Amino acid sequence: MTFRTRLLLISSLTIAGVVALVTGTVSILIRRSLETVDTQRRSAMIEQFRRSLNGQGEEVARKAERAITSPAILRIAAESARPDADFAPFLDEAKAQAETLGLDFVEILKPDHSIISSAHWQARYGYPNNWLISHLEPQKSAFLTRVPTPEGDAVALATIRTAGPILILAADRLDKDFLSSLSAGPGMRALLWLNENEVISAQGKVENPKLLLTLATQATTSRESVSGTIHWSNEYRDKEAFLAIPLLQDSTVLGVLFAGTSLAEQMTLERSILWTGILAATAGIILGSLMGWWTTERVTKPVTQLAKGAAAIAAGDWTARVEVTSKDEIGQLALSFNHMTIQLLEQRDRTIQAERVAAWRELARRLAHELKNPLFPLQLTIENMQRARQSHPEQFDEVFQESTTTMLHELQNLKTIIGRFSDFAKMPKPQFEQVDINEVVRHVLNLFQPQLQANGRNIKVDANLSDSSERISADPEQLGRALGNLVLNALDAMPQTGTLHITTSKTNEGARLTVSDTGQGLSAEECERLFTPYYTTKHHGTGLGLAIVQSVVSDHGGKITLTSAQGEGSTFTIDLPAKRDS
Amino acid sequence: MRLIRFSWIAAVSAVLAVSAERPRYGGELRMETRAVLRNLDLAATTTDPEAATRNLILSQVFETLVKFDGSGLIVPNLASSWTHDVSHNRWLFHLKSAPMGHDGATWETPFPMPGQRSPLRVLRDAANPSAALIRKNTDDTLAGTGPFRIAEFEPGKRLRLVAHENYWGGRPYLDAIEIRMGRTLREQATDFDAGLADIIEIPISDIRRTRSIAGHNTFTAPMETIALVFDANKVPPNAREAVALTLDRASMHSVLLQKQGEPTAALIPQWISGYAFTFTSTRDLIKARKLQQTTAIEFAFERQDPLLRSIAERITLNASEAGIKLSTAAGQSADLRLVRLALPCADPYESIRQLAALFRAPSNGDAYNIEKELLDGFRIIPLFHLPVIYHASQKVRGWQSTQLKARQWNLADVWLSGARRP
Repeated sequence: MTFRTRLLLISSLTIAGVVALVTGTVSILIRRSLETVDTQRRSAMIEQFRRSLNGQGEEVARKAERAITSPAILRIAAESARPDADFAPFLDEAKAQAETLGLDFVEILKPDHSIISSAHWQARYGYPNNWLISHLEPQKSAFLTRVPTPEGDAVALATIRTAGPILILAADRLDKDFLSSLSAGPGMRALLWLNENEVISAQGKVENPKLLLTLATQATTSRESVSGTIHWSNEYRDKEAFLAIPLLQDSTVLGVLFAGTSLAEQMTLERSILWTGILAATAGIILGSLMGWWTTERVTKPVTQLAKGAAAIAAGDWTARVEVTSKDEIGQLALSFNHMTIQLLEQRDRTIQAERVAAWRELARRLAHELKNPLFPLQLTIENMQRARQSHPEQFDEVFQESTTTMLHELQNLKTIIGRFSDFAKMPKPQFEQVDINEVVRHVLNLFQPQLQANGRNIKVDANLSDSSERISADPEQLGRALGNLVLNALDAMPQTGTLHITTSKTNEGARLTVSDTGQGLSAEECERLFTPYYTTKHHGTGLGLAIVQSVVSDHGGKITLTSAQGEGSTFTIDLPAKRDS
Repeated sequence: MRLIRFSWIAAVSAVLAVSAERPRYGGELRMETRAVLRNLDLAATTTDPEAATRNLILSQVFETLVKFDGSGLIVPNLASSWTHDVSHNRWLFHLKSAPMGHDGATWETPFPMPGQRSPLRVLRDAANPSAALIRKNTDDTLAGTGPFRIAEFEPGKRLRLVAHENYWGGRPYLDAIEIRMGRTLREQATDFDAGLADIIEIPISDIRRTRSIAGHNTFTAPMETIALVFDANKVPPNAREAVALTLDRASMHSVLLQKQGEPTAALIPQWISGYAFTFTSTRDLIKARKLQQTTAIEFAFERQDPLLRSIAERITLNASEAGIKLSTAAGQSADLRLVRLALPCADPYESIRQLAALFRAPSNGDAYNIEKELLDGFRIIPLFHLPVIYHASQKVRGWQSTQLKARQWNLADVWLSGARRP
């Protein structure tokens, strides 16, 4: 990731983060304040529910008082006093009383609580009443109770009165009319939960009543108010916050009153804030990107130029310079870079010069050393000839003969030394042709076969050549010469015994040739200098063998590497391309 | 003192004079009924709830040679006497003074009738509405011998009868009768309160209410049976018997039916069949609990019928005492239905034969065996025989329960107080 991208990302994320933080904080604050208001509204509704309940209870009690003074009830009371009382004619009386008084439930009971007449379930005459709470004595105040009906249980406000020996139960259902009488504020409503299948509102039966089951169960189990939120559908606005209050009669839960507040407005507001936040964040990111781009353009352009300059220098372009456009830190950096480049260039020239001097010195030293060896016998031979002429003229011919032979031999040595230097200097260009590298290896091994066992040596050869004949574009003579130098080098490393490993293999680019010995190995410093011309670790030699190998490999577009460790031998690896680039 | 005595005598005389008001000719009687008459085919008798009323209407136009009295015995009607040959193959009914039909023609007497049946069967067949004397004229009008003839007929809605001036029993008092058909009990009550009807049918629950208003109630002999009918393919016999054992007929009769009609375990009433007492029922909740195996039975009934609804609710409560759950359902495919079955005539064989046909049961043998076959296995559980209850306005006179007890309308004897012939 570039510095510019990073800078852009940081600035954009910072803007988006700030917007998200502000949006979230605003949303939370608004939600909390709305929840506080809703809680207050629901509490007011609960209070109103209690007042309405008391009011309806008083109304039921008043109606019950009227019922017990009605002529029909008095007639039933009188009939009950007869020993052969017949209540059959009064079957419809409870219904008539309910209709007259506007009550939902009226039941007329015998003293044993068996039903004489029931307004809502006429067929239950003669059966014992099953919703009068038996331990309750007739009382003035109304109480909540569940009333069984053919259609299921209802929750009602009931009261009990006596007319002589008979009992009158009067009750009003807590139904949608009652719920609609609760003047809930906008967005509020009251629900009455009777069971998991029956929940009523002011508009009638509530759909999906099972969604309220969890809250209702919590309220009935704990017998305390419980609050929660119901999501009625997948529509995000269709959410409602509820306070569930269990309706208790003694310890019995008769139902649950749900005071609900629609969260539609709140959800809409939150959604608006969210979208506003998203839009602001998007705009911020875009703006931040533009600003960041403009800023980074100004900041990173000099840095980019510096990077380019450094890359050019790394690529060998020592003339690369960076334009200085400002006097700030970036400008100072550019100036320093240019100065550093100049210093580096001067340093490199000095190093090259020093290396050249060192190379010449080394060449002179090597040349002096190489030339000194044949020159010293020559000098001794000539001095011996001079002494023989002066002191022993009779032996001069014999001495002369021996001395000239020696001199010729030494001159031959001088010629050879000079030839090697000349060969290195005149390294010819390779003549490329398709060459089987395995053939080259076999040819070289044949050439060196006698030397492997000469002078008491016991060198084993382990040639592991690739199965396929690897044909590469190469000069077979130069390649053979390079391989020969490596083999010679290995033989020098193994004076008595050892194993010479030679392997060839196919690579993606062409072929690989490795030559390993089991000699003493080289130190890290020796490895580093080994390919330097005229450098040698041996007491004899010109130090040109591996330099020639490297030159040949380089002319073939290949690469040679050396791995070695003290006491573990050395391995030369040559990678050659199959085709040489034109 | 003498003055006071005369005054008392005068007042009592006046009251007697009023109460002994003589029948008056003229006027039009307006009746309403739930029954629907869609055609004048007397042979199209069925067991739907209004079938009996339909026969009663048509009996005012078309008469049979003989008829059933209030005890179920055959008595003369058009025929004053009858004879047959030794082999009972040929019967001759001697008519009352050659009755004149609505078309002015008379029927020949004696009236022949084929036999080849038992004498009782021949007489019962002759008493059935389908055996009424009818003459089809060239203009496709039907002529009978009844006290009224058809003046106007809107099938299913309205029937207007006018007095048959030459009725063999003497001209009816009424000039005409307007019968509106297919009227619900609520519509009839509304029309009566509005003065648009003189005689209406009322439900049992209205008996007490109508006693307090002007007019009088009359009751027919049982004309329908309320019964539970199981789908034998869905409910096993044990469950059917269990339901039968939970039924508290006495309580329903005394409270829901206000002691009207009679609880029964037979389809045909005792006064018609004479053997109904052999079918008995007892309530045994312990045995019912042992027998009940079915967890829930679908129970259907006509929810618009208040009486059926209250009986059904009570049956549900009775069954729940034995742990049987009757869940309310709709339609003819329910496991159990509470139905009204009409008793179209006073002939036990004809009635039970029609019921057997209704339930696709065999109708071979005598009436008892047919009924026994129907009731075996508790496929059908009879509950009550119910009368039709009429409420007549104060001006309707001569509308007598004695005739109604014999399942007959005596409209020829009915007259209207204050009526005048134009």
